[in-house]
Amino acid sequence: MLSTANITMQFGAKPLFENVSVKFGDGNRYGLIGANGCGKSTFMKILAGVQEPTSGNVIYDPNETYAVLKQDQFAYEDQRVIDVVIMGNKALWEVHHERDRIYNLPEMSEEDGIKVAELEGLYAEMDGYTAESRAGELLLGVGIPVEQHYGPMSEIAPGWKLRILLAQVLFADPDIMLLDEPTNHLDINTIRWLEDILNQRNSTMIIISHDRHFLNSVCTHMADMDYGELRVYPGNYDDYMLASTQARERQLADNAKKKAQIKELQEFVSRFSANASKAKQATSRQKQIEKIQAR
Amino acid sequence: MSKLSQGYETEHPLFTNFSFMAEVGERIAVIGPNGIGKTTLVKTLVGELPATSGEVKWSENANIGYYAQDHDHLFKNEMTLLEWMSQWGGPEDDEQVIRGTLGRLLFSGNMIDKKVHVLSGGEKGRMLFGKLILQRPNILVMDEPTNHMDMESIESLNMALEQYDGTLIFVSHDREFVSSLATRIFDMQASGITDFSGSYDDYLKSQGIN
Ligand SMILES: Nc1ncnc2c1ncn2[C@@H]1O[C@H](COP(=O)(O)OP(=O)(O)OP(=O)(O)O)[C@@H](O)[C@H]1O
Ligand SMILES: Nc1ncnc2c1ncn2[C@@H]1O[C@H](COP(=O)(O)OP(=O)(O)OP(=O)(O)O)[C@@H](O)[C@H]1O
Ligand SMILES: [Mg+2]
Ligand SMILES: [Mg+2]
Repeated sequence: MLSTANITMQFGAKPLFENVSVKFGDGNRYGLIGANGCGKSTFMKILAGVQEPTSGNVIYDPNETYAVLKQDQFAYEDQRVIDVVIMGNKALWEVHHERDRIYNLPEMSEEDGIKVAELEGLYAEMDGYTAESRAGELLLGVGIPVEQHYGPMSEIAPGWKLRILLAQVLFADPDIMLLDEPTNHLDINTIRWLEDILNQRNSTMIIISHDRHFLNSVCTHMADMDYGELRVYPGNYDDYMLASTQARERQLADNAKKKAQIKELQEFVSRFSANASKAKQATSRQKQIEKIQAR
Repeated sequence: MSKLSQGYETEHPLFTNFSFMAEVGERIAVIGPNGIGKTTLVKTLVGELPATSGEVKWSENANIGYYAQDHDHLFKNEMTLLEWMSQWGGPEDDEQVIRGTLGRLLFSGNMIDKKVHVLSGGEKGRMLFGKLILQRPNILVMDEPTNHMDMESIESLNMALEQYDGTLIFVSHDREFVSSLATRIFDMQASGITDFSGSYDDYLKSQGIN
């Protein structure tokens, strides 16, 4: 479970969003939607802990792991493709790294020897020895041929970097996944592939997207950011559209009803305000009009 | 364009001997899977990459506007929105014109004094549309312009392009976008490029897909 308490984010005169308190969990897949510039990426960065909100806080479950698909696809240019995937599992990557560091020492002390043995044990427990083959399989799954697995990220075309970053998140197999516009740059078949992969996972997901088809086939809930608020609706995008259209219609009908009420009262007021005996009643009706208008 | 060939390794060209003629007012959609060479083709057309062989020739009065797939570097600076947009105006475009262009793209008030590097993905895309509006091109080459755009922006872009009377060459994976705009299709596949004159729906029918 990932939740927020009264998060407010403000860059300029007006806050982007205010007092957002929500819960994400239970393996649900939330589509985070809203107009360009409404604050979706900013909210996701706050959830991921890479941006400080103006006020409020994020509450993490210490037993749950997270992985984030960032929008910057050029963050790992010098790294080997296979390593970028394995890095998805941070703990494993640290052990791997430390182990390599010790092996590369010109001389190993007794202490180093003990340390490295411990690390090997840990590495085995974490399934480290199968890491490369598992990462390799994921890469093949996203369509990256074996020849490219050991080359640098800089040799991968932009549209394909995204698949490697996806493989990184999938490799981490986290309890909670945060994905910022994963379908940008992807061709149709790859989007279908991604839908299947996500639907097979049990992780809780928060996915920013503007792609209606994708949202419909993947999401169990919609989190709509609008007018500085975040509202969560059960269902996919079409369900959400239906619900929000109905809500708007109700509101319009409500407004129409309000207008009719006001008109009726106004007529009463103008008819009787001249008449002394009804004047008192008219004044109270005038107050009613003000009350309805203020609602 | 005659007998265009292009590739990054001579032994594996991305396409060879591709020739075509684009008529004024045509709207050509370039489609195909990731990594097939769509961006490479349009970069060759706009002159960003020299062709390994063949020739790209535009008419004398061609004024090409180009919307690149990867454009983040244009925003990695400290310019304000107003300063950034001013770069692309002609000598006759005074501050009012620039402000007006920003306003049409829904940037107004305090927003235009913001630094461009803080803009959201969709906002950057909108700024690039402003650049193209100011450039007034008669040929538009757009590489995946709907990425990052929200649904309403895609719709506005779609309508604006429908009314555009210049020549349009665009890359897209968005079937609805392609289907509502294209009058001609370049389908890039590993086996080669299919050049089809007609709508996307007609193209699918011709391929036996519905
Ligand atoms: N550091 C900052 N300083 C000032 N304004 C900022 C900063 N970072 C973001 N913004 C503004 O906050 C707003 C929200 O940005 P954000 O990237 O969260 O939008 P978004 O909902 O993800 O949009 P898109 O759908 O276009 O990706 C934008 O108007 C952006 O310009
Ligand atoms: N600078 C480069 N050096 C070497 N190879 C490159 C370079 N740029 C692209 N490539 C390769 O050329 C091929 C075509 O790339 P291109 O970017 O044109 O594809 P695309 O069809 O636009 O793909 P996408 O749908 O992902 O945008 C890819 O296999 C890519 O790896
Ligand atoms: Mg965003
Ligand atoms: Mg491309």
